[in-house]
Amino acid sequence: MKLAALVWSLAALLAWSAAAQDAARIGTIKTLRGDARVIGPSGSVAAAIGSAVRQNDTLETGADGALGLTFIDNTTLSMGAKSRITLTKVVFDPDQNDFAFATSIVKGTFMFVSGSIAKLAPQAVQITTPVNTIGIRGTRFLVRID
Amino acid sequence: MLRLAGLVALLLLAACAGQNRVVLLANEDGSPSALTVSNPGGTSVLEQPGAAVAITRATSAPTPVTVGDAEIRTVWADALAYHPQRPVTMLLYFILDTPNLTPASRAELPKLLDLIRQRPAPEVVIIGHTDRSGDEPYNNALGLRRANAVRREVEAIGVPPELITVASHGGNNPLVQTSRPYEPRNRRVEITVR
Repeated sequence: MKLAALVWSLAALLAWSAAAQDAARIGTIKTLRGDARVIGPSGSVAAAIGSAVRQNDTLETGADGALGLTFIDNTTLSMGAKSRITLTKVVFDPDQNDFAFATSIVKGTFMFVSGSIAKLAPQAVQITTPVNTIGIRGTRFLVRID
Repeated sequence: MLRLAGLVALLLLAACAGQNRVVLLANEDGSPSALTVSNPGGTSVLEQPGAAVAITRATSAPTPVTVGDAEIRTVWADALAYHPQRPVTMLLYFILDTPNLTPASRAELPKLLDLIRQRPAPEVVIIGHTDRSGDEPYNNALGLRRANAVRREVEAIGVPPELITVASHGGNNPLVQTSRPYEPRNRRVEITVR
């Protein structure tokens, strides 16, 4: 009985988070290997294919980890092992002329292919690392920070 | 002894910092690509595919460096292998002054089913666009009507409704940049599968 109740409350929680996540979703995990985590306000959760990522989430991979995600503006991003990045702010509301794409790389290896925000509002893109910032104009590129 | 430990730590730090790189790749569609890499030490502009900079620390300017294909395939092997498939966008047009797709556009729709099957956790985003002949609220509403008209057709061919989101960009995301308000090529719906 207790187990059934637990399963039900878990199911309710999942249904709630599925409904609640849509407005806040800024991207979706599409590829995955090994140890990869999404760290958000409710703690650190193992990444899964289809997981939503939200503003201010941090993505982290372990020694055997790798992951890739798509953002709401069609930016694609992948990261190799022992990598860490915070998705500080992503806003894509062309009907309001409101754009932001701010990410903060902590360490690791990354590949970016920029999307619609870089095309419509390149000045809204801010990719920072501990040693530099990257400004982009419609671009595919790699970053390594040790 | 303490001094030695300090020295070793410094060398390690320097060795690590020496590996920081930003590398510009060619765009897949051949369109021009460019990056600026900046810090308080200075700014480097990368304009040629393959151009790269090293950044040793936040206060020294990025410096040009050669990063060969072999190094790219080794260092970024996982980032390259796990990069998601690029989203694919389909452009759809309407018969003038109607909510009906042109026959050519309607014939495109079944391709969606394959694109969806080829992707993990697929998403289908339907975005309505207008030209700039109306004011912003009118265009936003018109874009949404166009997108919803396409949504019904997309569901009718068997795309699962739960994969679909609908939005309007009004006249703010034109396909063709133009100063004239009337531009039929900008009155479109884009379906992106990602």
